[in-house]
Amino acid sequence: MSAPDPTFWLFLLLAAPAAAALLALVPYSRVSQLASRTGAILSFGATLGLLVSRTSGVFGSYLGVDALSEVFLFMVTGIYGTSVWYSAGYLRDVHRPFLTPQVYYALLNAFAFAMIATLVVTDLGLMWIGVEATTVASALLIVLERRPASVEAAWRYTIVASAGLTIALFALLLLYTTTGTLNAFRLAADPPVPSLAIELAVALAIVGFGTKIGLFPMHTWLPDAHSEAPSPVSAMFSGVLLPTALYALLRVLRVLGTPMPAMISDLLLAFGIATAIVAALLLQRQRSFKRLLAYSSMEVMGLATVGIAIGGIALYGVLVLLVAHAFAKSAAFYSAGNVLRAGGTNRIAEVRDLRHSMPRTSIAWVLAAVAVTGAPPFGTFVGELLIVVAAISIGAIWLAGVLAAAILLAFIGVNFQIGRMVWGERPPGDPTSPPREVPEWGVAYLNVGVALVVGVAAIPYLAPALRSAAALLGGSLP
Amino acid sequence: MDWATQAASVLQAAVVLLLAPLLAGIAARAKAWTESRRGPSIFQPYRDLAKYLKKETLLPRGASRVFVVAPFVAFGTYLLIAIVVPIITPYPIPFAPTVDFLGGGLLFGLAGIVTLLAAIDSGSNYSALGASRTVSFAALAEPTLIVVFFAVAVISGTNSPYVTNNLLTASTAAYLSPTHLLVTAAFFLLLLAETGKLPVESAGLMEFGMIEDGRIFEHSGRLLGLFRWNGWMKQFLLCSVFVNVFALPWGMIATPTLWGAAANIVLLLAKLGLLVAILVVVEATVAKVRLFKIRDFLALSFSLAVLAVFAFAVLGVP
Amino acid sequence: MISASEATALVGVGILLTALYLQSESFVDPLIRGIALQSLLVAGLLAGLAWTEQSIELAVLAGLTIAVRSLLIPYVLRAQLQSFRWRVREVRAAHRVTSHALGAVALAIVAWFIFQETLAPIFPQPGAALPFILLVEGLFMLATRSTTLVQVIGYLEAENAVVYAGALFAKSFPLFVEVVVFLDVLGVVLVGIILSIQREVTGTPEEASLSELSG
Repeated sequence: MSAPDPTFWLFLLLAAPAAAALLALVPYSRVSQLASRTGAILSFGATLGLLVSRTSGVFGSYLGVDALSEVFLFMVTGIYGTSVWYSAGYLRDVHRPFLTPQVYYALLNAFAFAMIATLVVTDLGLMWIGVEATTVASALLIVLERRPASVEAAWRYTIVASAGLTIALFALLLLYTTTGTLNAFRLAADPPVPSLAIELAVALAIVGFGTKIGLFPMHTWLPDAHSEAPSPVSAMFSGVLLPTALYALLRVLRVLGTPMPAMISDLLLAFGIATAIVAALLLQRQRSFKRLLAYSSMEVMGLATVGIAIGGIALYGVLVLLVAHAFAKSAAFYSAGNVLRAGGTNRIAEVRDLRHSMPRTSIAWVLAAVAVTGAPPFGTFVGELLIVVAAISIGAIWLAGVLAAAILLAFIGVNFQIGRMVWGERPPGDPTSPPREVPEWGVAYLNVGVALVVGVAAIPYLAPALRSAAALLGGSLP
Repeated sequence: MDWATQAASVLQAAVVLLLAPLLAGIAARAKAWTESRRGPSIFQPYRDLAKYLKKETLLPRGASRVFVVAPFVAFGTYLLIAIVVPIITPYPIPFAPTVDFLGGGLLFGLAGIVTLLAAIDSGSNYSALGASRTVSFAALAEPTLIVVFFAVAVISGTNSPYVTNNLLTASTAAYLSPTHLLVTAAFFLLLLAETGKLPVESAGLMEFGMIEDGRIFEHSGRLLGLFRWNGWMKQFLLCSVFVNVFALPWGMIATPTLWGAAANIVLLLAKLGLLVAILVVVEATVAKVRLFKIRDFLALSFSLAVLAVFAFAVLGVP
Repeated sequence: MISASEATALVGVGILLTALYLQSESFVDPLIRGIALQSLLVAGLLAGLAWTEQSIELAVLAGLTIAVRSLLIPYVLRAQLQSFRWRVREVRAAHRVTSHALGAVALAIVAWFIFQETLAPIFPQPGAALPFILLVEGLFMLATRSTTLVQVIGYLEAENAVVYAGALFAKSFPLFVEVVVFLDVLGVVLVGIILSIQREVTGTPEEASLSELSG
């Protein structure tokens, strides 16, 4: 049997979630669940197909993939799949008007479709539409929770994100006016003559897409949206939505060629450092565990931005960090979702002694928390180490120090809080009954496992893709 | 200097001096008409003036010479303005080069400040209140006036009202340029404020709403008559500048002949009549804003004036 | 008669004026009418350009702008106000008309200076700064106002700015119509779904202060 054509994989990649989104609207919740699961499996399979065939190139006038998109596709379809699986339990306990499984699955599939579409198009304008579409789908997922806080969070999210994306669109207009094309692949292969206009366009794009990435000070929507979204959606937010926006930014940055002009890398560096530091400080005083995890994601995005600014070996580190973080953070959110469902609260102070009440979930949670904060031997550790080493290798010892401080702060903050919830004693005389274990604890282990394997072993096909993606971005390899 | 333009100057000053009360009379009559009253005769201001000039003048205890001199200085200032701006003369008259737009604005300011000093000198609380109100609003009105003049200057590239008038007459594009439209709007709002028209000030005996009239509370007899006359002249001058330089610059006969001057006077009266009609409509349709909201009104005017200059900068063309 | 570029400039300044008006207004109903007018002006500009450029895309954009941002969204927004149309306002902004108006002018000037310093050499045509200024004003409104309805106005203004910029500079911008359709979809989603759910949940179109979302 001959290997299928790469366009077949691309078609499957896009068609599976789209069809699932439509099929999910059939008024039988079993059908929507089945359709979503099938869609997720098929799209993940298509990603594997692309990875295995090492497809790289442009197909038709709008579609194109290379190693970079495949790495991101791996994350997106992977988290999409696990989130769909995890959603069954979430939906079982939720009874809200209009939030039927049909609507929920349709929006979830649409959300995934928007992210996948962002990753396989060549045109920056279409990429922009994809990122914007994620806002629509995900905001609706948040607002359907129909609590005052979630409505307000959805509102802030849409307002801030779309304002940022307006700036990004302005940047694309500027870019198009200067270069005459928005085809990211063509621009990357044949970078236009550097000019102030292009640098300005990229700077505006950093601000614009940076809003969606969660860069300080445009991050204000991020903790609200993460904490108020349904937990499977929070996992997709943290794990893959932020990286998808980062992917769009990476594509724009490619216009500059390598190395980046000093102005742009300084700008990225400033945003990245500020984001990492602010997030590491803010997560110390969070009272809700989902917000805690949200700030941790923001810190990782800050580190990734710094890594992009440094370039070289750090780019490889960024990709490893993002992949490992996506899986680890989604595992953390699945566990957090279990705790939220079982205990009915997202207050850190009200959750204690999970070790006894929810043993399986709590172990997964601790593992995930350790993984997202960059402990060895998880992939996040490798990524963060590479970024810090790259900072030292370009002679910026202060930068390495600042990054290490942010990483350490976040590590202590997250793990201390989660440790308190797992090992802390319940106050004597607490009348409430302890939460009971929920059946959906397995997905978290699966994802933590992926984060671990990324760190310790070279996954066949993924590892080469990571390397060539880093090379594509102009990075050197370890 | 030929005699014809000198004669035109004298004639122009006479027109301002003599027709200013008439304009006020017409405005009062027209306003009364909108209120379904018959209203006073349009010559009532002349009768008032004759009466004021015959009456005894009383000075407050402790008032200094400023109190007495101020009306005369202000009167002289307005007369000076009358011979430097184009009112019935679209051609430069002998004194015109002495001041430009900015100078005109400064002269208006001078007359205002002198009146203010007289008000403070009277030692009366009411007058002082009028003075303080005037000053607090002038803080926004005066910069507006100056920015308006800047805007006009950028349109014509000069600071002379005569050149501006000629340019606007000649070029439709200049007339319809954003800068000109905005500056006209700004000047119109300023005109409402400076002449005490309705959204800002309601003329009458309401002390609470008084702004400019509050300043001359303590003056009586001849001095009061002069102040009244000053007020009418200021209104006449501002309205004339508005119609001749900003809103309706067309139609003036540019040769210094007697018939030309006569035709220009008639034309001016026609334009002013139109302006009075507009002002009456404004007064009949808007309500007086609260005293603290006047600041907002003037801020709007100021914003428009700034925007006029700004539009020139942004668009690169007048 | 005045030339096409002069007419464009005039409409552009009109749009700028509406932007400044929106900054200084605190009542919601006049704000909605203001944004409808602004969209109408943008649509007029697009229609004029469509005529001179003989461009179907621009004509479609003009129609879309009128249909969605000048009629549909204002209609939905006003429906949100229900019978409180005359009194719904931004309470915090009500007493600051002077400072808001002057602030808006100052902001426009600052935006213009930034434009002059950076983008002016790339866009030499007169009035090129106007969309940029409009964008800054719209984003400023989004950032400083706290009432959700007023934030929608700010968002629509920013969207108008993008459409305006696209029409002026990138006439052949690929997929521009699609992008604008998308922005409109987002606008309708924002306004229609979120606001109505918000009204059901919290009872008012006003923002509720929520301790849950602090930190």
